Amino acid sequence: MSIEAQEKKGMSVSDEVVVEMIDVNKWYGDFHVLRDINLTVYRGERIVICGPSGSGKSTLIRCINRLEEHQAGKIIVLGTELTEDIKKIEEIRREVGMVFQHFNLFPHLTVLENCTLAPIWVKRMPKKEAEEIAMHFLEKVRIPDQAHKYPGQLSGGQQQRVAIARSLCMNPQVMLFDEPTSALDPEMIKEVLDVMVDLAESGMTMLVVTHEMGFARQVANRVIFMDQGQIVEQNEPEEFFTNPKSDRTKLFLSQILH
Amino acid sequence: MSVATPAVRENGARSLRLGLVLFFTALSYAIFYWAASRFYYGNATGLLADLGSYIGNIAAALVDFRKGVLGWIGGILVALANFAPFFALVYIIGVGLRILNWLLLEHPRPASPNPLTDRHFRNIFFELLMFTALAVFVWWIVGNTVTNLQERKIASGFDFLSATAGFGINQVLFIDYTESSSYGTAFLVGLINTLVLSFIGIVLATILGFIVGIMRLSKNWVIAKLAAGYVEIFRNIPLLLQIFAWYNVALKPLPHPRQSIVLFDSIYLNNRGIYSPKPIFEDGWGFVVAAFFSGIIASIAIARWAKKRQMETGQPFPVFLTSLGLILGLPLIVFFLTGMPVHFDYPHLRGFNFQGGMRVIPEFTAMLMALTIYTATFIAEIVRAGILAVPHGQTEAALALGLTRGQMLRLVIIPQALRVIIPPLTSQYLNLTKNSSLAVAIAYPDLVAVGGIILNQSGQAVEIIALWMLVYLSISLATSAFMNWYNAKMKLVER
Amino acid sequence: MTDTVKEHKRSFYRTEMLPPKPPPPASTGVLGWMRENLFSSWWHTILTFVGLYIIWLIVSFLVQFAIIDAVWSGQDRTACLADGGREIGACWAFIRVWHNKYMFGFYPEDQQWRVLVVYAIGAVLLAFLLIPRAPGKRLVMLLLFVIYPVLAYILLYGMSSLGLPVIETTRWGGLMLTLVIAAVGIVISLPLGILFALGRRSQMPVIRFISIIFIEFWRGVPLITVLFMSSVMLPLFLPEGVTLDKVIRPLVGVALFASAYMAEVVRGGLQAIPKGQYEGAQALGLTYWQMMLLIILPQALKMVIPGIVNTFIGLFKDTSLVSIIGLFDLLGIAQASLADAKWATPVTAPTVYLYLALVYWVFCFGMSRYSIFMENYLHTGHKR
Ligand SMILES: Nc1ncnc2c1ncn2[C@@H]1O[C@H](COP(=O)(O)OP(=O)(O)OP(=O)(O)O)[C@@H](O)[C@H]1O
Ligand SMILES: [Mg+2]
Repeated sequence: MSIEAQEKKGMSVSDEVVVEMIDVNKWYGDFHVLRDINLTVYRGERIVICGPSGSGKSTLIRCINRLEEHQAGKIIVLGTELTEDIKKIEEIRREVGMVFQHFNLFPHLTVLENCTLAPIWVKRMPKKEAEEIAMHFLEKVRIPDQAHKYPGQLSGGQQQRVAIARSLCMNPQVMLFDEPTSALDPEMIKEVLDVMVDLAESGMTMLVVTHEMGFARQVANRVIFMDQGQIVEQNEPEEFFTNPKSDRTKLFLSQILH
Repeated sequence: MSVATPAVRENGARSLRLGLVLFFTALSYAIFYWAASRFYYGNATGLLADLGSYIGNIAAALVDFRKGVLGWIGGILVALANFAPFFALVYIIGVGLRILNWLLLEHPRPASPNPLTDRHFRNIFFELLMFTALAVFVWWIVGNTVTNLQERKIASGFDFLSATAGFGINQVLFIDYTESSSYGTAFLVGLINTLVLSFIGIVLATILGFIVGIMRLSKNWVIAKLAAGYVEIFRNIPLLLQIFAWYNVALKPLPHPRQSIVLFDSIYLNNRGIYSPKPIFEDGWGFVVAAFFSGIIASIAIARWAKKRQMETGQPFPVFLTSLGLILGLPLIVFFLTGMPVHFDYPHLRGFNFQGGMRVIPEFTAMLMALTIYTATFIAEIVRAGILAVPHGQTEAALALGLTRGQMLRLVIIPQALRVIIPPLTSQYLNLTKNSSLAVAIAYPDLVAVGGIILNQSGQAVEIIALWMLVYLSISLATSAFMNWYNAKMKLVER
Repeated sequence: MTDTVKEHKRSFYRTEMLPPKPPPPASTGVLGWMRENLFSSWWHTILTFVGLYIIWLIVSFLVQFAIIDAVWSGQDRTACLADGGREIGACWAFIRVWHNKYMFGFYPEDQQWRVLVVYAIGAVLLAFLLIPRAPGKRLVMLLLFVIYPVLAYILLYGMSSLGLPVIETTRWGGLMLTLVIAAVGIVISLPLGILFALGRRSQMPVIRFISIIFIEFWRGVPLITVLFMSSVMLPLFLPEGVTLDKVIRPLVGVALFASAYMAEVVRGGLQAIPKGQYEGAQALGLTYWQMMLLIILPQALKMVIPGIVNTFIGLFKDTSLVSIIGLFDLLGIAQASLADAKWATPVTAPTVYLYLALVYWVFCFGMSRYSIFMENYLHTGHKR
């Protein structure tokens, strides 16, 4: 996608660095899961990460909000380096939203309570204000009428949209998505993707692990292909899909696009 | 096969069924009556003759207030027990009515033309057969018991409860008891001792169990293994053995009162128990108690206010610390202001034993130690399972939102874990209460131990055992009522 | 790195894959494990040392008491009395003297081979039953639950016509009696429990009602009151002149008590069977009992094996309660042995309790391991 096309959609990339990973390495025991990862994310970027199962995609984005710890290299998020400092990590987590493959909504709270929990307890927001914000985002994800139901009463697609709204309520600067549609039935995938497209158009910085190549073509400004714990190829979507350079990428694309 | 319309065939089948049912009902009566008279009364006329005297019995029990409440309840129980055959008859008539109801009103559904292969008919017949067999069995047992009791010249009924007990009890709490008190009072002392032991045991076992359960989940290997070792060792050794061990190894070999082990100059450990100073409250003490309760009330009010304020303005309030200050600090201030209105009665040696002070008998300590340590192993496993039952994704989602670890535990993990923990936890509480009956082995005067003495002295085995069962079943029933209520409530929330 | 990555603007690709590297030394191996699990922060470091200290205290005490300071042989209490300043630990000499009684009670020594034969047959049959892949489960079940009890009774009690002198149950005792009570409880409670579980789920209100009353009654009262009931009231229940053996009485109580608990375990299994299984069986035209025996119960029972084993563990521990009503099971005879004035020393009681704890623990722990093994086995079995 050319720069002009993106700007037409109102999606612009500034040169402010939001996430920087420098020579990041991680091991699970003896298993080298992330190998010399170097990645710079600028504000407003929409990065799609794909790759075969077990290639370390999830691990990579979970390192960004330190759900996983890396053992070598540096990760700097919003100007703060991730270290053992718990307070700093909590600060970063407030600014980085995350959406999981299996939604991970809190089953003992209503949809509205799911959305207001963090604003009330983390941002110390009055309940009323938190609820207003929550309703605003529930409208954005098109389910304001489900606000007083429990997660167990919703379909998968609705749950995932609630999960997105829950993250947005914290007004994050970066959103991480880990295969947000892969646990959903086909007819629900679209409703979630639509919400994500809206979000991209609003200028949110997004890192999305997904195999939805249509989504990548439509909104991504960069596609990253990972294999064996390393970034094998990255490019603008147009180039990436039409003219992959690496053999591994070609093989992967041929499998995924038939 | 005749050429009848379906409706006619249906009607014919139904009346045939009705006839059969009535016949079998009558047959059951006959069997029942025959068995009853054969085993119980020796001749058939006795049954009807006795009915009158039963009614007399129950009336007598109802008007006889002299025996006190226990005697009264007991009288009714015995009368009801005597009445069992009558109730059985009523029940059988009930079953018969149920069948009629089913035949005539409830199930106008196509029936099998042959009643012997009709499913409902077979079910009802089978039920009736089972019930009759059971009723005959019960009647037979009751009959034997009555005969045996008469043979041994043991009067049935609860009159004995008002007789003088004549034995001492070494732990009497809350009520007055002396050797000249009645059996009923002794029984009550036993009941109180059971409840006190169970209550303290439950509190301690819960604390220990939660600590160990959480330790087992620690990422510190040594701590986790220590907790696992504790659980694996103590839950696999019979409780009774543990009780004996505490009693005979840890407490009995303590020195005689004269050589007591002294702690803090005022607490004495010896083979007669633990003696500690007993607080004697003076006039102003009421103010201190009042201050304590106002502290609690104020804390509740503050907690409410703080929650409301946080919901309105987002500002949190240090509720825990304030409450702690109020509940502990307020009474303390009042305590000093009123000039410390308490003094202590110190235990002192008189002859071979201690006088004064407060005494905890070694039997109590042994029971408490064993019950706590044994039950805590089960509670620890329940807690561990409950916490593990909350998926890891919940933790991750909570952390990813920026909640602190404490907030994550308090707002997300614990509420979900508690739903899993509370039902089995309640049944552990019940188990602990039931297990406290092992006290009889080391003669801690609980319900069973005291009941056992009364049983030996009075020979009223049936009544004593009935009372035991009544008490324990009531506790069980109350517990399961609570559990049902809790489960229903939690289900409602989750849907 | 620059030689393997072709970079132009923000796009690049790798021509050569990076090989995996070994992790930094401090994060794997023994050191990494210790860092992760023992010393991950100063707080955990303190905990680790406190924990190790506690373990050290316990282990060193036990070793000192049970091995280093222990007395291994002797004829009477003088062997286990402290004289000449030596600390005295466990008095194993006492256990050695009493050991035969602990194992067999007052069963005549020249007849004890009969008990051992019963043990041996039971062990072989059990092994076949418990090993999941062993063949002939049905035959073994039949042998174990029908033939074996009869055989065991004949062997243990005796039958003069077979040349086995009768040994009255009053002479039974020790571990043997404990095992007999536990085994009878198990053999009776399983079928009875299944019946009551089926009854509780029955369509027939009267049957259901009776089952519920039965189950809830026994589960609501403590075992000790049940034992009192069976030893005091059971004789009253029977017609005049009929007397029940002193060992049989508590057996009745234990068996009924265990049945109620077993019924609840089995009911859990029945509830876990999907409705489709019932419907499938009915669609095949099976009768109720065919459906239950052929389709439902085999699955349900398999599913609740861990629960059944846990009930057995409880039952095994509970057998010790018969000592309160005057039987000489393992705990009962041990308590009696403590009154042996010839051996009255301060260390006798601790030694005896340590020994008993060990014996009971080995049995219960073994069973609980088996239950965990089955749980895992069934779990993986389901996945496949
Ligand atoms: N906690 C863990 N312990 C050990 N190994 C792990 C752990 N989590 C992940 N792994 C391994 O690390 C590798 C990368 O995992 P990761 O979840 O990042 O893969 P992924 O690219 O997201 O795959 P998928 O598409 O299946 O989600 C996998 O081989 C996985 O088995
Ligand atoms: Mg993944």
